[in-house]
Amino acid sequence: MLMRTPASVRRLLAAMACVASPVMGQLPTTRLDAVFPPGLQAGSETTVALTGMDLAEVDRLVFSDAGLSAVHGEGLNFKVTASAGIQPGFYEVRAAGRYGISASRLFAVGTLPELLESGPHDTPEKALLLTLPITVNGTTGTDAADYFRFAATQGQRLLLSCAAERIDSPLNAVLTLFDPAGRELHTAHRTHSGDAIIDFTAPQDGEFVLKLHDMVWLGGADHVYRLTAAPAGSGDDGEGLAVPLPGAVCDWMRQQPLTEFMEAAPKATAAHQLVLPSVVAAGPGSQDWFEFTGTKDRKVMIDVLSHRLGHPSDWVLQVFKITRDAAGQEKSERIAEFDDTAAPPGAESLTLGSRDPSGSLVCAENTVYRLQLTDRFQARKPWRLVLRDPQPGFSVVAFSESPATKGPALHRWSPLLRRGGSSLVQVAVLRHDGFDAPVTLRMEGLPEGVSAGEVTLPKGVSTASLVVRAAPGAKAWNGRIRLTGTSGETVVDAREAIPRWTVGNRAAERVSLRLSSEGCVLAVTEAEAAPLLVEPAEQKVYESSLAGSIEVPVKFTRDASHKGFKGEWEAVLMGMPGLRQAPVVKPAADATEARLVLDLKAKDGNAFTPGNWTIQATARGIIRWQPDEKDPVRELAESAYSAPIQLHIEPSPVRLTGPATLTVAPGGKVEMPLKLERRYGFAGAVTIELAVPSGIKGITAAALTAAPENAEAKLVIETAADTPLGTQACTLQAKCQWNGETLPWSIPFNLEVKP
Amino acid sequence: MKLRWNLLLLATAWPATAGAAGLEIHHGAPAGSPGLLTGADAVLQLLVTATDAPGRQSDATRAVSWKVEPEGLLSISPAGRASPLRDGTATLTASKDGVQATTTIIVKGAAANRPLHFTNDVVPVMTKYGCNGGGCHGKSEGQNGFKLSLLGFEPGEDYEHLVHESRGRRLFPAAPESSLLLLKGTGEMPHGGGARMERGSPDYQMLVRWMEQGMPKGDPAAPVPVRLAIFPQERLLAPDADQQLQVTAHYSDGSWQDVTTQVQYDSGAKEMATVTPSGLVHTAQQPGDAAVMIRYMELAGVFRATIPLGAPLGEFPPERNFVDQHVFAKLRTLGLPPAALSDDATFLRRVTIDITGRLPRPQEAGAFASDPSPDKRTALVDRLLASPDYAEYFASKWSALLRNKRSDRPAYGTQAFYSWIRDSLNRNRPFSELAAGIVSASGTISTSPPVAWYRAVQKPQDQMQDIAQVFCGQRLQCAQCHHHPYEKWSQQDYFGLAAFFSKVGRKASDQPAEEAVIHQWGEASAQNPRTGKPVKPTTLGGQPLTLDPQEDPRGALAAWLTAPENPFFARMFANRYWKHFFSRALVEPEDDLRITNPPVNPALLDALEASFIQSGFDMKAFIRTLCTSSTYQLSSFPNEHNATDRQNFSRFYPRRLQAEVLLDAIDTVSGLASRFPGQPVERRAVALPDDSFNGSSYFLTVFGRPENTSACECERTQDSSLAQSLHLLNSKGIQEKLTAPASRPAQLAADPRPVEERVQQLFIMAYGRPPEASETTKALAYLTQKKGEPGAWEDLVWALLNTKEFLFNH
Repeated sequence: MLMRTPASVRRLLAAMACVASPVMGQLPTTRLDAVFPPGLQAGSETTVALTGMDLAEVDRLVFSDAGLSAVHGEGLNFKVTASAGIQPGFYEVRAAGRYGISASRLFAVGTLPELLESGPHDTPEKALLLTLPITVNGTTGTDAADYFRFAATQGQRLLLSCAAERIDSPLNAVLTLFDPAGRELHTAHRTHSGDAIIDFTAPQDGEFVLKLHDMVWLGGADHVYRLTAAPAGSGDDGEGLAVPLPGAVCDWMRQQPLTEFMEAAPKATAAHQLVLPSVVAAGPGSQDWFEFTGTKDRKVMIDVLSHRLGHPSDWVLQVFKITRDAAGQEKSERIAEFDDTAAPPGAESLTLGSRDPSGSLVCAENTVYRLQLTDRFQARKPWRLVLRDPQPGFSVVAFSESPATKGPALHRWSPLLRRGGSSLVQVAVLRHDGFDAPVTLRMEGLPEGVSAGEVTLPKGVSTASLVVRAAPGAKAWNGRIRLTGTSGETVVDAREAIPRWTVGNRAAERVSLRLSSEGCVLAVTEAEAAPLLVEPAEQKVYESSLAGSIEVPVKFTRDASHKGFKGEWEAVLMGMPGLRQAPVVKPAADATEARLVLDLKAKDGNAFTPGNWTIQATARGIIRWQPDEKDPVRELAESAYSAPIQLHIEPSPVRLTGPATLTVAPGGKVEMPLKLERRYGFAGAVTIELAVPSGIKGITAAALTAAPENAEAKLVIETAADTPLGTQACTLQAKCQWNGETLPWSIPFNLEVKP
Repeated sequence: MKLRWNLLLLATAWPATAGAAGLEIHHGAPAGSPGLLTGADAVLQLLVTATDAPGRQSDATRAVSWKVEPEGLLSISPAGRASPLRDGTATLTASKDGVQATTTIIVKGAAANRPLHFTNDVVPVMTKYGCNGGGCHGKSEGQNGFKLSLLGFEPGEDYEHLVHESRGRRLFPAAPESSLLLLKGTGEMPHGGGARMERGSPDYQMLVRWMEQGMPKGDPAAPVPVRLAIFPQERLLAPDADQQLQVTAHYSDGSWQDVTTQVQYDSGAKEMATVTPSGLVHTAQQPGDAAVMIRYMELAGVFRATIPLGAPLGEFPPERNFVDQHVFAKLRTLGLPPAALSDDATFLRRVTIDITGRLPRPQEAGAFASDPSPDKRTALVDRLLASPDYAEYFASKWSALLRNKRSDRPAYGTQAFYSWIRDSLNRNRPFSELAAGIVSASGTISTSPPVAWYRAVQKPQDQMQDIAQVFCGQRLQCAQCHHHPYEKWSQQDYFGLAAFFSKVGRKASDQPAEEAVIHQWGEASAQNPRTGKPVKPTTLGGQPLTLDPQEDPRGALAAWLTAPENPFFARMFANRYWKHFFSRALVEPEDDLRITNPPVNPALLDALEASFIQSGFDMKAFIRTLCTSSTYQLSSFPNEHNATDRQNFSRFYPRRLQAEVLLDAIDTVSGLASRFPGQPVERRAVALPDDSFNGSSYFLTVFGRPENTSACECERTQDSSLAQSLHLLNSKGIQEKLTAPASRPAQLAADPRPVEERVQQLFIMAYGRPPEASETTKALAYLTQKKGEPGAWEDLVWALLNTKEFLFNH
């Protein structure tokens, strides 16, 4: 490369040009954008330089493998050593300093001799000479290409592989190969796991030239790459961790194939025969047929793995039940279709969804089931089909949200708790194979003075937020913590989702997240106090019913060393599934308290479910920050989160009670006394009807309406002479109008019919 | 010129007035069948062709005398139109200068008026007189309360409007002559369209009879015309000569009828030939090809007149391939001698610009000039085609046609699509694969870049229209609302083709602001808005296809499109690329290949099409064929005969450099490259991936770089304008390029070499040739006069940039 122009600045400007909202900074937190070189050869050492933000006093690199170690040198330089025994591949590295420990970056260990790019090599004439095999570490320059030249002999098969996305680089690499006469031979872009690879056989002896650039000519210190030029099979860095987020969360994803079908079955009658359970490696192709014999009531989990393996595919799966009529003629009935797998509701921003089909099939009878698979993107990449028995369970993904991660932005960030400070961790529980039990999320291994609430996700809920908070007297600390999901005896460790690069505007920049192999990290600093704390005025269970509202008084505390909030800021209640748009309160800049209201009406995209919930109060706004008097005042985005707030939501504002069992004779009648307790300010009428199990004749009751002033009512239940004897599970269907919404609910009771 | 023509005519004794060696009577019936005059109102145009001793043909229709035996069966007007008198079989003899020809005509139903048919008899008359034209009652809202379907393509609606609308006030069967239709049509009552027909004319009489017959709508199962036979289809005509046309409509039941006086004629080149409503073509003085478009109901056809110059031909350049054979054959027919071959320097500059969009480099010019090889021009073409510059330049051309428009999106999509096109061209991927890749693109833009086309062209109908225009040269937009006025395409054809895109689905992409394209399962169809019925996918001229709902119909479309037997695909490409290299397409505009828009050299276009198909749609081979022909290598300097030739390629037609090519050329000569935001330093303007750079470059805008908003080549303008001249003469941008410290003038001023060498280098750089002695003298004189002033070299470079030799490819 020529210039170390920060492409991030250009991307940022581009992002700002596309959206009206500015991209705001945040209080310093160690942010590691690049390590250069981004890898080294096993059994060697090299000096790496760090690039990022808020790297003050960074003096430690933390690797995910003991085979890598670092010694701090001058400034942001470290001498890194890879042991001779370390396996080649991708590892994680974090930087730790005054502002905590960074989110990880990927760092490669290779097997080939390494070279750092040197000197200008931005024209074919200045191409950097390579002696193969080799791995070159470089960065692209903005609006420029890097050129390399190497000798090859006729018939020699070489692999030219540019690792970029595979090492968390935003570089969208394009490789172009020229023959000795300057003719273009090959070009490659996003051919493998988001990276460019050219597999070619030299057509002649001579010196070949390779051009490398970003597709849209971006470059800079974060646009690192590792270009490997070597005989095929001798030294590429490999697959690494470059699978999309949804592809890395289930252990069975990594199950080895039991069968291989490299030739596609082009038509139904040629379907590949499978025996359950089965893991099939298939392709490349765009359509294939399989069939298996299912037994009645057997539940089969079906998954296609392709997009989740990093391929640009879009498989869709259809299931046909095959039977034969009396004449032996085959009959095919389409019984199911599986397409994309959505992210859990509330976790869409974490790109946990995939274009792979995933689902379950319950065999209705003992017969043959035929699967047709079609790749609508016609990517023609290898893929896998998994047919397995259900293994209900879940996995947990955590994402530490930066205060500036709002709207279109997505920051590489890891939490740093200042004195009294708080941080928010989004958690997604990925339920699979029918698992639907409650899951309790908690943090373990927290240092003294740091606490985190515990949140239980009820049945059917997949996302939650955890707030981790430091007491004012918490000691400085950084390290790994454990975030777990517990359900019964099962305890699952969360894995951290990390954006490969910071995105200012999702509408203009590509988003890519990966999972860390290490769990979550946390840092605490004693050096600074958090600028703002928010707490509920009273710790209690706040309750109301659907269509009502809950008011939570909160108090704000400011750190005296800060000048206070500048401009607009706001406070809101958040953290509850179904709550998409909470009413926002905009207190005065110097306010010390506010009343936050949660409107439980089904509007603004909100959908509430009765039950017990944990939420938190959040204050967010812009602060003026000046670390030292000599420094300019900076305006930064900041958020503060309260301790957990417990909510209880009723299905209606009326407590309706009556006898659990009533007895009536056939052809007789009975009065059912009911009591109505109106709560939460509700004072309206209530309509009550009797609901009888279907198929039971002769049990009737005239609907009644309890007027607003009635706290009691009587429902007269009559039976016919031929009403069957026995106990019937009946319900009272109640309904009321409140705040413009109709709220139905039901009360079960038993009706005993006996002479 | 006119004097020379007269001399030539005297010298060559063109047969229009010469004695005939043979006569032949044509009456439109199939070969071997007698002519037919059926019904009292029948008119049959007889056409007599005289052939002189050398075998040249001319129209003698109005020059012969007729004899009818037995007498009284029919009458023949001086124009050769026969009308029935009584039933029988007549023998007709045409005589001229002692030469005779005979034919047989059967007269039937001379005493009876046949039942008239609204669609087959009345509607054509209204079309002929322009009543249902787009500027009159045929426009969508009608005219003054009276609405007809455009050109009568919906006769059912027309019948309702004419007969029943306005309480039937337009027609008066009790006294047809008092009908509003006839009173207005003849101008006897005030009529915005004026008098369209004469009272008492055959058409007038037919309308009267139709009303007298009770305004029959006619049998809905009546035969419909399926083919027009035009005689002659083409003819070599002298200037100031006449040629009568005879047009026969052939019907679905195998019958035929003379419709010479019922069809509508339009001359495509009125400066060369005019045509009367009764089909008499008259040539003017200008030589060349003139086409007369003939329309009848939903059918259309063309008569082509070739008007030769007749100049002495002299020696032709060598015929290097079939291009030369066809072009030179036409020139010989026209008597139009071609220019001489261009010199090496001119050819080098011309072909380098045309293939790579750049000027030849000085070292290339030197090497080419000194190369003694007889095949060096062919070798040069191969070298240029093998260079990445070729792919960059032509990718830009296709990028514009395929609407690679940035809009407000991130740069990735357009850059990826451009790169895909560029790579396809560089690898010389067959054109069929390139087209199929676009038509059936599925997936995300990062792994299947041609899906970018679907983001620019969102609606199925727009997708169909673009594909039809770009790859088939069929402009189908008209047929969306009504039958195509100049083609056979109906709304059914339009929506049948659109149905191929009816199942294009979209879903989220992994790239921001981009969408992935998929095939949505289901039965592909489009709704014909006129019938309200669904239309299955149907290729142009094909039968409706029944496709598996899971099968992407675009695959079937791509297969049809790129099949060797597709009548449009290769022809369209050939015509488009011919224009790129020869300035004028064989069919103009290049993407409007209508039946009624014939090529100027049909045999050549046929041969180009066949060659392209035979090569497996090899684009480089096609370009090689064009550029290695002598025709391409002709000098742009006219000889004494071909200065006005604009369509026969008797010389090379100079054209202004395209906006990007010109900017690059100026950058090259001035030594100061333009910079384009987000592009590498060395990026040429011809290799810019999308339209987004136009906004920041006044130069590109004023010189007509397209905005990539349509599939039409016409978006690129190569006209000249005052704004362009002023920009080149005195704009700040040009001034900066000349005066910058790193610019060419400053380099030349500081160059220690003798001034003659520096001047020579500058000329070679700008023109691809060394200066002539007079040019050197003038340049040296100016530089000497300025005594080494820094601005002297700036002036010299500026002067060169503003010459036509620099601004044009010639």
